Amino acid sequence: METFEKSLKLIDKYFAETNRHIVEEELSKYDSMAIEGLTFDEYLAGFSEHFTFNEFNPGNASADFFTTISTDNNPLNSKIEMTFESINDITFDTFSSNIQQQYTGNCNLPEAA
Amino acid sequence: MKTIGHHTCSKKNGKAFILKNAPFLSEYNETGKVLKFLGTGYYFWDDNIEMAHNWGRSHFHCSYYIIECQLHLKSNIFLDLVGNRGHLRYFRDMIKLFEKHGYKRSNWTIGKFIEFLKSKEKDMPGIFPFKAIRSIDNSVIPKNKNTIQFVDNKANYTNLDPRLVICLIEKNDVILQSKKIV
Repeated sequence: METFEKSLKLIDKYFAETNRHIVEEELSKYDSMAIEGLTFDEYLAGFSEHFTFNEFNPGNASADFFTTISTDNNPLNSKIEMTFESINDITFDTFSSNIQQQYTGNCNLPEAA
Repeated sequence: MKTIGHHTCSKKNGKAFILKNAPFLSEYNETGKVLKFLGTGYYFWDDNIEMAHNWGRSHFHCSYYIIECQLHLKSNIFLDLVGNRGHLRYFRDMIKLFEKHGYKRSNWTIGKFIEFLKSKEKDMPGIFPFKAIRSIDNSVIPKNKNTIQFVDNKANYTNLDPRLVICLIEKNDVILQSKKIV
Protein backbone atom coordinates (compact mmCIF):
# COMPACT_ATOMS: atom_id res chain seq x y z
CA MET A 1 0.00 0.00 0.00
CA GLU A 2 3.02 2.28 -0.28
CA THR A 3 1.62 3.84 -3.44
CA PHE A 4 -1.57 4.78 -1.66
CA GLU A 5 0.09 6.13 1.47
CA LYS A 6 2.43 8.24 -0.62
CA SER A 7 -0.50 9.59 -2.63
CA LEU A 8 -2.38 10.60 0.52
CA LYS A 9 0.70 12.26 2.00
CA LEU A 10 1.26 14.26 -1.17
CA ILE A 11 -2.36 15.37 -1.31
CA ASP A 12 -2.15 16.43 2.33
CA LYS A 13 1.08 18.30 1.60
CA TYR A 14 -0.39 20.02 -1.44
CA PHE A 15 -3.36 21.36 0.52
CA ALA A 16 -1.22 22.34 3.50
CA GLU A 17 1.46 24.16 1.54
CA THR A 18 -0.44 25.77 -1.32
CA ASN A 19 -1.90 29.23 -1.06
CA ARG A 20 -5.60 29.01 -0.32
CA HIS A 21 -6.52 31.37 -3.13
CA ILE A 22 -4.69 29.18 -5.66
CA VAL A 23 -6.30 25.98 -4.44
CA GLU A 24 -9.79 27.49 -4.56
CA GLU A 25 -9.16 28.78 -8.06
CA GLU A 26 -8.04 25.35 -9.23
CA LEU A 27 -10.94 23.57 -7.57
CA SER A 28 -13.43 25.99 -9.08
CA LYS A 29 -12.55 24.75 -12.56
CA TYR A 30 -13.90 21.35 -11.60
CA ASP A 31 -16.92 22.74 -9.79
CA SER A 32 -18.40 23.82 -13.12
CA MET A 33 -17.90 20.52 -14.91
CA ALA A 34 -20.77 18.17 -15.62
CA ILE A 35 -20.50 14.43 -15.88
CA GLU A 36 -21.72 12.29 -18.71
CA GLY A 37 -22.33 8.61 -18.34
CA LEU A 38 -24.76 5.85 -19.04
CA THR A 39 -28.36 6.89 -19.20
CA PHE A 40 -31.24 4.88 -17.84
CA ASP A 41 -32.34 3.64 -21.24
CA GLU A 42 -28.85 2.40 -21.98
CA TYR A 43 -28.95 0.21 -18.91
CA LEU A 44 -32.39 -1.00 -19.69
CA ALA A 45 -31.56 -1.77 -23.31
CA GLY A 46 -29.87 -4.91 -22.12
CA PHE A 47 -32.87 -6.34 -20.37
CA SER A 48 -35.17 -8.21 -22.67
CA GLU A 49 -37.58 -9.49 -20.09
CA HIS A 50 -40.83 -7.66 -19.45
CA PHE A 51 -41.00 -6.28 -15.98
CA THR A 52 -42.13 -3.17 -14.21
CA PHE A 53 -39.99 -0.65 -12.45
CA ASN A 54 -41.14 -2.02 -9.11
CA GLU A 55 -39.08 -5.09 -9.75
CA PHE A 56 -35.87 -3.12 -9.60
CA ASN A 57 -33.71 -3.08 -6.54
CA PRO A 58 -35.52 -0.82 -4.08
CA GLY A 59 -32.15 0.21 -2.70
CA ASN A 60 -31.57 2.26 -5.81
CA ALA A 61 -34.07 5.03 -5.35
CA SER A 62 -35.22 7.10 -8.25
CA ALA A 63 -33.68 10.19 -6.69
CA ASP A 64 -30.25 8.58 -6.87
CA PHE A 65 -30.75 7.75 -10.50
CA PHE A 66 -31.85 11.23 -11.46
CA THR A 67 -28.95 12.71 -9.59
CA THR A 68 -26.72 10.61 -11.80
CA ILE A 69 -28.15 11.73 -15.09
CA SER A 70 -29.31 15.23 -14.27
CA THR A 71 -27.10 17.99 -15.56
CA ASP A 72 -27.82 21.53 -16.58
CA ASN A 73 -27.06 20.45 -20.12
CA ASN A 74 -29.72 17.80 -20.27
CA PRO A 75 -32.89 19.24 -21.80
CA LEU A 76 -34.75 16.06 -21.03
CA ASN A 77 -34.74 16.22 -17.27
CA SER A 78 -38.26 17.52 -16.90
CA LYS A 79 -39.63 15.05 -19.43
CA ILE A 80 -37.89 12.13 -17.79
CA GLU A 81 -39.09 13.15 -14.36
CA MET A 82 -42.63 13.55 -15.62
CA THR A 83 -42.43 10.12 -17.18
CA PHE A 84 -41.08 8.70 -14.00
CA GLU A 85 -43.94 10.01 -11.90
CA SER A 86 -46.29 7.64 -13.64
CA ILE A 87 -43.87 4.77 -13.88
CA ASN A 88 -45.90 2.50 -11.64
CA ASP A 89 -48.79 2.64 -14.07
CA ILE A 90 -46.97 1.62 -17.21
CA THR A 91 -44.92 -1.32 -18.32
CA PHE A 92 -41.19 -1.31 -18.56
CA ASP A 93 -41.30 -1.56 -22.34
CA THR A 94 -43.43 1.56 -22.65
CA PHE A 95 -41.18 3.47 -20.33
CA SER A 96 -38.02 2.39 -22.10
CA SER A 97 -39.45 3.25 -25.49
CA ASN A 98 -40.52 6.73 -24.38
CA ILE A 99 -37.15 7.53 -22.94
CA GLN A 100 -35.33 6.13 -25.95
CA GLN A 101 -37.32 8.29 -28.36
CA GLN A 102 -36.87 11.43 -26.30
CA TYR A 103 -33.22 10.92 -25.63
CA THR A 104 -31.85 9.83 -28.98
CA GLY A 105 -33.33 12.88 -30.65
CA ASN A 106 -31.38 15.23 -28.44
CA CYS A 107 -28.04 13.77 -27.46
CA ASN A 108 -24.66 14.22 -29.05
CA LEU A 109 -23.10 10.89 -29.80
CA PRO A 110 -19.65 10.46 -28.32
CA GLU A 111 -16.85 8.91 -30.37
CA ALA A 112 -16.31 5.90 -28.23
CA ALA A 113 -16.98 4.35 -24.91
CA MET B 1 -4.64 -8.53 -12.57
CA LYS B 2 -5.48 -9.68 -16.07
CA THR B 3 -8.89 -9.28 -17.60
CA ILE B 4 -10.65 -8.85 -20.91
CA GLY B 5 -11.90 -5.40 -21.84
CA HIS B 6 -14.65 -4.67 -24.37
CA HIS B 7 -14.56 -1.29 -26.06
CA THR B 8 -17.23 -0.10 -28.47
CA CYS B 9 -16.53 2.34 -31.29
CA SER B 10 -18.10 3.65 -34.47
CA LYS B 11 -17.65 1.71 -37.69
CA LYS B 12 -17.23 4.84 -39.75
CA ASN B 13 -13.44 4.73 -40.28
CA GLY B 14 -13.23 1.07 -41.25
CA LYS B 15 -11.73 -2.05 -39.74
CA ALA B 16 -8.06 -1.34 -40.48
CA PHE B 17 -8.21 2.10 -38.90
CA ILE B 18 -10.07 0.79 -35.88
CA LEU B 19 -7.65 -2.07 -35.29
CA LYS B 20 -4.68 0.23 -35.55
CA ASN B 21 -6.02 3.07 -33.40
CA ALA B 22 -8.51 1.61 -30.93
CA PRO B 23 -9.25 2.10 -28.15
CA PHE B 24 -10.32 5.70 -28.59
CA LEU B 25 -10.07 8.42 -26.02
CA SER B 26 -13.18 9.73 -24.30
CA GLU B 27 -12.30 13.15 -23.08
CA TYR B 28 -13.68 16.20 -21.40
CA ASN B 29 -15.90 18.17 -23.71
CA GLU B 30 -15.04 21.81 -23.10
CA THR B 31 -18.05 23.11 -25.05
CA GLY B 32 -20.63 21.04 -23.28
CA LYS B 33 -18.69 21.00 -19.98
CA VAL B 34 -19.13 17.26 -19.98
CA LEU B 35 -16.78 14.87 -18.24
CA LYS B 36 -16.95 11.08 -18.43
CA PHE B 37 -17.74 8.87 -15.44
CA LEU B 38 -14.14 8.29 -14.39
CA GLY B 39 -12.67 11.27 -16.23
CA THR B 40 -10.80 11.37 -19.51
CA GLY B 41 -9.57 7.98 -20.63
CA TYR B 42 -9.99 4.88 -22.73
CA TYR B 43 -13.12 3.11 -21.56
CA PHE B 44 -13.85 -0.60 -21.44
CA TRP B 45 -16.54 -2.82 -20.07
CA ASP B 46 -14.81 -5.37 -17.88
CA ASP B 47 -15.40 -8.66 -19.70
CA ASN B 48 -18.90 -7.70 -20.73
CA ILE B 49 -19.61 -8.02 -24.42
CA GLU B 50 -23.35 -7.70 -23.79
CA MET B 51 -22.95 -4.17 -22.43
CA ALA B 52 -20.57 -3.36 -25.28
CA HIS B 53 -23.33 -4.31 -27.72
CA ASN B 54 -25.88 -2.28 -25.78
CA TRP B 55 -23.61 0.72 -25.97
CA GLY B 56 -23.16 0.24 -29.70
CA ARG B 57 -26.89 -0.01 -30.29
CA SER B 58 -27.70 3.06 -28.26
CA HIS B 59 -24.78 5.30 -29.27
CA PHE B 60 -23.87 4.23 -32.77
CA HIS B 61 -27.24 3.17 -34.14
CA CYS B 62 -26.05 -0.38 -34.62
CA SER B 63 -23.07 0.71 -36.75
CA TYR B 64 -20.27 -0.22 -34.42
CA TYR B 65 -17.35 -2.51 -33.76
CA ILE B 66 -16.41 -4.09 -30.48
CA ILE B 67 -12.73 -4.34 -29.72
CA GLU B 68 -11.71 -7.06 -27.31
CA CYS B 69 -8.44 -6.42 -25.48
CA GLN B 70 -6.37 -8.35 -23.00
CA LEU B 71 -5.67 -5.92 -20.20
CA HIS B 72 -2.80 -6.34 -17.79
CA LEU B 73 -3.47 -4.11 -14.80
CA LYS B 74 -0.39 -4.11 -12.60
CA SER B 75 -1.00 -3.46 -8.94
CA ASN B 76 1.14 -0.32 -8.67
CA ILE B 77 -0.81 1.52 -11.37
CA PHE B 78 -4.25 0.02 -10.85
CA LEU B 79 -6.90 1.64 -8.68
CA ASP B 80 -9.56 -1.00 -8.15
CA LEU B 81 -12.72 0.57 -6.79
CA VAL B 82 -14.58 -2.72 -7.13
CA GLY B 83 -12.78 -5.59 -5.48
CA ASN B 84 -10.18 -4.08 -3.19
CA ARG B 85 -11.36 -2.56 0.07
CA GLY B 86 -7.95 -1.00 0.64
CA HIS B 87 -8.30 0.93 -2.60
CA LEU B 88 -11.83 1.97 -1.71
CA ARG B 89 -10.64 3.16 1.70
CA TYR B 90 -7.88 5.14 0.00
CA PHE B 91 -10.45 6.94 -2.11
CA ARG B 92 -12.59 7.76 0.93
CA ASP B 93 -9.54 9.00 2.83
CA MET B 94 -8.55 11.12 -0.15
CA ILE B 95 -11.97 12.80 -0.15
CA LYS B 96 -11.66 13.39 3.60
CA LEU B 97 -8.42 15.30 3.02
CA PHE B 98 -10.33 17.89 1.02
CA GLU B 99 -12.62 18.36 3.99
CA LYS B 100 -9.78 18.37 6.51
CA HIS B 101 -8.20 21.34 4.78
CA GLY B 102 -11.46 23.23 4.35
CA TYR B 103 -12.08 22.37 0.72
CA LYS B 104 -15.06 20.09 1.19
CA ARG B 105 -16.55 19.03 -2.14
CA SER B 106 -19.48 16.86 -1.13
CA ASN B 107 -21.21 17.42 -4.45
CA TRP B 108 -18.27 16.39 -6.59
CA THR B 109 -18.52 13.28 -8.69
CA ILE B 110 -15.82 10.65 -8.73
CA GLY B 111 -14.59 11.89 -12.10
CA LYS B 112 -13.91 15.36 -10.72
CA PHE B 113 -11.68 14.07 -7.94
CA ILE B 114 -9.81 11.91 -10.42
CA GLU B 115 -9.31 14.72 -12.93
CA PHE B 116 -8.18 17.15 -10.25
CA LEU B 117 -5.58 14.73 -8.90
CA LYS B 118 -4.40 13.82 -12.39
CA SER B 119 -3.75 17.50 -13.02
CA LYS B 120 -1.35 17.55 -10.04
CA GLU B 121 0.62 14.43 -11.00
CA LYS B 122 3.02 16.28 -13.30
CA ASP B 123 4.18 18.67 -10.57
CA MET B 124 3.91 16.19 -7.71
CA PRO B 125 4.79 12.71 -9.03
CA GLY B 126 3.08 10.07 -6.99
CA ILE B 127 0.07 12.16 -6.01
CA PHE B 128 -2.08 10.13 -8.40
CA PRO B 129 0.12 7.56 -10.17
CA PHE B 130 -2.69 5.34 -11.43
CA LYS B 131 -3.01 4.45 -15.09
CA ALA B 132 -6.11 2.28 -14.82
CA ILE B 133 -9.22 2.61 -12.69
CA ARG B 134 -12.00 0.09 -12.31
CA SER B 135 -15.38 0.91 -10.87
CA ILE B 136 -18.86 -0.55 -10.62
CA ASP B 137 -22.08 1.19 -11.47
CA ASN B 138 -24.85 0.10 -9.14
CA SER B 139 -27.42 2.61 -10.34
CA VAL B 140 -29.90 0.12 -11.70
CA ILE B 141 -29.94 -3.55 -10.85
CA PRO B 142 -32.84 -5.64 -12.08
CA LYS B 143 -33.72 -7.92 -9.24
CA ASN B 144 -35.05 -10.69 -11.39
CA LYS B 145 -32.12 -11.13 -13.75
CA ASN B 146 -28.72 -12.52 -12.87
CA THR B 147 -29.22 -12.10 -9.17
CA ILE B 148 -29.29 -14.91 -6.68
CA GLN B 149 -30.54 -15.19 -3.13
CA PHE B 150 -28.18 -15.84 -0.24
CA VAL B 151 -30.83 -17.27 2.03
CA ASP B 152 -34.31 -18.67 1.42
CA ASN B 153 -37.17 -16.31 2.25
CA LYS B 154 -34.90 -13.35 2.95
CA ALA B 155 -34.15 -10.32 0.88
CA ASN B 156 -30.38 -10.76 0.82
CA TYR B 157 -29.07 -11.36 -2.66
CA THR B 158 -26.06 -10.77 -4.84
CA ASN B 159 -25.69 -9.70 -8.45
CA LEU B 160 -23.96 -12.15 -10.75
CA ASP B 161 -23.75 -9.68 -13.63
CA PRO B 162 -22.43 -6.36 -12.29
CA ARG B 163 -21.53 -3.60 -14.70
CA LEU B 164 -17.85 -2.97 -14.25
CA VAL B 165 -16.15 -0.13 -16.08
CA ILE B 166 -12.42 0.17 -16.63
CA CYS B 167 -10.87 3.48 -17.57
CA LEU B 168 -7.30 3.50 -18.84
CA ILE B 169 -5.68 6.86 -18.29
CA GLU B 170 -3.06 5.99 -20.86
CA LYS B 171 -2.72 3.18 -23.34
CA ASN B 172 0.52 1.34 -23.79
CA ASP B 173 1.71 -2.14 -24.71
CA VAL B 174 2.17 -3.15 -21.10
CA ILE B 175 -1.47 -2.58 -20.24
CA LEU B 176 -2.98 -3.40 -23.64
CA GLN B 177 -1.54 -6.78 -24.50
CA SER B 178 -3.69 -7.70 -27.48
CA LYS B 179 -6.70 -6.48 -29.37
CA LYS B 180 -9.09 -7.85 -31.93
CA ILE B 181 -12.47 -7.03 -33.37
CA VAL B 182 -15.12 -9.45 -32.15
